[in-house]
Amino acid sequence: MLKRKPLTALLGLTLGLASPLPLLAQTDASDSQRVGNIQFGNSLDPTGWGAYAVPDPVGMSYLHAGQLRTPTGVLYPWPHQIPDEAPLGTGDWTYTWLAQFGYIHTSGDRNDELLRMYSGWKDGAALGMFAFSALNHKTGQYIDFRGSRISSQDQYYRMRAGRYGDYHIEVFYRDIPHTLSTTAFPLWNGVGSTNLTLPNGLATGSTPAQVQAVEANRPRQTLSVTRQSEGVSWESALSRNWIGYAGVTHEKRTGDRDWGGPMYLTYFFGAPGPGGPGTPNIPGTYGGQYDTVRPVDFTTTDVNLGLRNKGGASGWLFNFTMTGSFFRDNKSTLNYAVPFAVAPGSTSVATGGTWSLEPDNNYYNVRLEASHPLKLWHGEFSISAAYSSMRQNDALQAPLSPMYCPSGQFLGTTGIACADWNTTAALSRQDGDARIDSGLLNLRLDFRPSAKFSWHLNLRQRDEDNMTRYTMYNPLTGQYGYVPENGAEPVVTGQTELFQPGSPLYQSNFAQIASIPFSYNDRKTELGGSYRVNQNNTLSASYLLDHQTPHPRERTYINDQHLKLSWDTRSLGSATLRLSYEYQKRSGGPYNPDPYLAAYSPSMPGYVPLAVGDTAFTVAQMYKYDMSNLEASKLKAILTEPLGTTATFTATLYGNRLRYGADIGRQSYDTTGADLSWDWEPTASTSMSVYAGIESSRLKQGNVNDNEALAFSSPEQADTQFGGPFFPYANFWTATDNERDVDAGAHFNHVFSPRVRLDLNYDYTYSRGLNSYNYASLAAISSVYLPFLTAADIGNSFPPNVYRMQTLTANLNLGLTRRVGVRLYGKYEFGNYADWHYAGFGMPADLIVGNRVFTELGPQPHWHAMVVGVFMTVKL
Amino acid sequence: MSSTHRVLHLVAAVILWLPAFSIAAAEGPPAHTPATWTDLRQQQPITGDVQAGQAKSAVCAACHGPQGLAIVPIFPNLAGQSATYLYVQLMTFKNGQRNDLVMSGQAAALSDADMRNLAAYYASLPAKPAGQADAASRGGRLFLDGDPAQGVPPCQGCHGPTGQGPRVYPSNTPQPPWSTFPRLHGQSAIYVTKALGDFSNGTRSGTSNAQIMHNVAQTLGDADIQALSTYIATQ
Repeated sequence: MLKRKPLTALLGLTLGLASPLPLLAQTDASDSQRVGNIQFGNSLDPTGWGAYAVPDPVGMSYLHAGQLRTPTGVLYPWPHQIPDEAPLGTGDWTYTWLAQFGYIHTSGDRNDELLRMYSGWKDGAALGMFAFSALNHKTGQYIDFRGSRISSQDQYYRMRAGRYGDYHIEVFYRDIPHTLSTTAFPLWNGVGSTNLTLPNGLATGSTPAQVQAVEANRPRQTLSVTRQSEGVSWESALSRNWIGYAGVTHEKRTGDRDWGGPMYLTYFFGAPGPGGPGTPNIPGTYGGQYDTVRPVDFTTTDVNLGLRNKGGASGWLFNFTMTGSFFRDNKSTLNYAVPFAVAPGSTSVATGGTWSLEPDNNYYNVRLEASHPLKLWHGEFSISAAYSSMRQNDALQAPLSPMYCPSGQFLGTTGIACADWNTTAALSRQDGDARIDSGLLNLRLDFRPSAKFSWHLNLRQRDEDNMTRYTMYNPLTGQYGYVPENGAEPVVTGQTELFQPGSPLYQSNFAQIASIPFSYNDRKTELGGSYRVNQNNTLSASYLLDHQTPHPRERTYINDQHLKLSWDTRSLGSATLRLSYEYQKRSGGPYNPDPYLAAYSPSMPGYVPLAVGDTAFTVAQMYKYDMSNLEASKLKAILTEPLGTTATFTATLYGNRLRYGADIGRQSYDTTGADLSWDWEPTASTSMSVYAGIESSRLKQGNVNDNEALAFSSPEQADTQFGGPFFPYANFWTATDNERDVDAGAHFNHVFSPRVRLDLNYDYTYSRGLNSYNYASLAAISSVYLPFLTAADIGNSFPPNVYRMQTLTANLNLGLTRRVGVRLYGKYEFGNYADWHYAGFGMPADLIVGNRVFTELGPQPHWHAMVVGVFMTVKL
Repeated sequence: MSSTHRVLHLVAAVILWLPAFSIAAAEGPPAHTPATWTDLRQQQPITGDVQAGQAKSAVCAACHGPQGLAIVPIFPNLAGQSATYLYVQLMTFKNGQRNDLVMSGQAAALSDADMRNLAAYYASLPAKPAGQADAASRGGRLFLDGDPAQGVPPCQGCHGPTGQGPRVYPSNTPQPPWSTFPRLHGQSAIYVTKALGDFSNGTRSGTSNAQIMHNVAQTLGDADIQALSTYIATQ
């Protein structure tokens, strides 16, 4: 596969340019020129160097026995043995290599989507690892190649070359799978393309029973996306103190995934339901909601070029970087035909929908970081400044597709002619012309007046300018606004969201007529200090004022204040305790619940309000969570206790309490958690760790149902006050999201002899989410449902969502000779999954519910799967 | 997947791995390849009978002098040297991890007690008086400061600022085996040059300390070795 990739030429070029070199790095350190792809590994070997993970009994140093600990008391891991080397030619080069190849077999629920989510397991031959490295001990030149392949969707190859202290070049190619669903039964033909068509036997106007009959025989498909990336990067010492670097990464994402398909609500309007007059027609015969499948065909090219000085030119250290990121969507449209008429008899219009998918995007960034020492108080001044610009200018798409709203047809009884909206002549301009620029300036002073005391002052200003402006004006009709829901809404409701001054039909319509250019400026000021009371105790404190001026938003300014206190101590025996507390208080200007009027028709000249006024935009007491007042306390304690010379116990406890100043909107968010771990390294031959973590969170929100009886019929519909006629207290309700997550496991590694090495890992993950709700009275329930629901029907929660997975992984490496060995790999995974969103989906026909079409049955409720592999390892 | 299948999977896995565990069991307890050098990292300071050592020292005096100061510069001075260092050298001569035409033979006949006693005896003798070393010389700079550009660590880190032995500092971290580090001051330039050469080319590599010195010596050029030897000889 590599030979077909465009960067192969670059790879070859690089190989040709660089003198051969090698050394197997034990870690993947981050280099400054990297855009991404720092860690290379896969499910067979997440670290990417497992074949070399043989602990070296020599330990860390010839100077002392045993392992040192980090400053916080954690034991360093045993270093790995340096592989055997052999002379390469007659010069100063040595080399080493290793190849591990074999066969993988999966059994059990091998297609479970959670098993395959990020793993390309496939029965067949696999390359566990091929590694080659060579090093010139005299010149410091090296070359290192590493590759692994589970399947064509799950593989990587990487080569590094350079000379220590001089230059470094890297090229790579990798494929990473991302499986989204293995139980998809798309109704449409053409999955993967931009045009979803109905299968034989179906046409717009079909009944749910007809669609069910077809859906029952649709083939099962897997929806997945593969991330294929390749890149080259370079870093070089241009002179003693100047380092240049550059990198290009190209990533291509291909595949398909679940997507939406709105054709207006399926139940709100229409004929009475089975319960007679006053009951909704569930399953409805109006509108349509579709779970479609869209293609993913993206490329992103990241370019990065920079220069840095590490020697202090005129006392300055600095780093200058230019970055460009270029996103391209090669399939920018999705058309989908629908099997249901949006209203009985309307089979000539709104027979499908169209999506404008993500536009191409160009991002540019220049950044300068510099620092200079100060004589005063051993200080340092540092500055960073950046400017970025993000731009989109794709050709705009017509509001309606001529395939589904052909010229000559009209949308229901509204008089909207398809011909006026199914070409780009209906738009006020032809291109997106979208642009957001932002500038950043950060100034910082650090001082250390004494060995015990240090303090800093940081000023950060970030300004964003959203220059995107679009007015929804149709020059063909002289109307402002848009035809939503692919034309389905006008057909179903007979209403439009179009505004036209001077037109009795449209002059009073409430409609969005322009884009809203969200943007913000942000200034952060921080003052902090640290005082070492004695050898074992350090106190720190900082105060941060974050002043934001977002626009157009509900508040013209926000002040977010953070006070942080921390105490690090070693006065509790041999333990290290790090205790921190943060108090946060947010306030701001007066809250305007509707700051977006300029983007709506009432702001236009010629707008004539109706006698009953406009429906309230929202309840005045609705505080959006990022704009509301907030008082928060966050406490965290980390204890690290060395147990003898070979073990460490670590405990982390934390709790966050957030209180928002709102009844309507987010009210509170609490998180409590604990992590415990025990690590043991008695010898180089044995290591073991056990860990457990638990976190629970509770998010509570409040809202109020509007008094639907007043909507569009009474001037009281404009009353925005909570407790008023349109938002009465009786309509108040709350929703609480309770989450509990547990993760635990044990890892054991032992070298029985130089020829027998065993790794055993057990990991457990559990998550339970429960959405519960409460309400002041049944008036909080929409009048659409109220006639046929009782309090007992409603209850007070949805069923819990549960996810549990247990994985047992084992690796046994057996050395048959000094050079040849066998690796046995086994992974046994099982779990269960419950999500009420998928409740009732047992077979493909279940995916048709009234005028709704769903695509996937969801993950298996229970799954068990085993992956085994046998590999031959050959090395130098 | 049915429970039968699950059981089959587990059985298959166990069968697949059974031979592996058998092999592991057959090989017995962990047995790493023995190091080709003696690990001194946990070496404790030794003690010995000075009188008994003196009684055994007659042969040694032929080269190392009656008071432990060598009669020719190719031999090291032993007077005032670290007893543990001397004991380790004798031990490695005896077990073959250090080789010398004369010393290998001499050490072969010594018992462990003899080696401890001799080491204690020579350690008890007064060391050669301090000289007038030039700290500003190339050798002095290397000894005191090292040469970071060349990767040369300062010698005084392990051998002390005057070459009279390491300056031990208190710490609760794992400690180096200070007692195994030799005093260098006053050793002849010829002997130091030979020793550094032996470390560099691997001739002398039989202990963990020698592994350290191997890497250190390889950072030194011939001129550096000469300068350093001269400086040490005048300490």
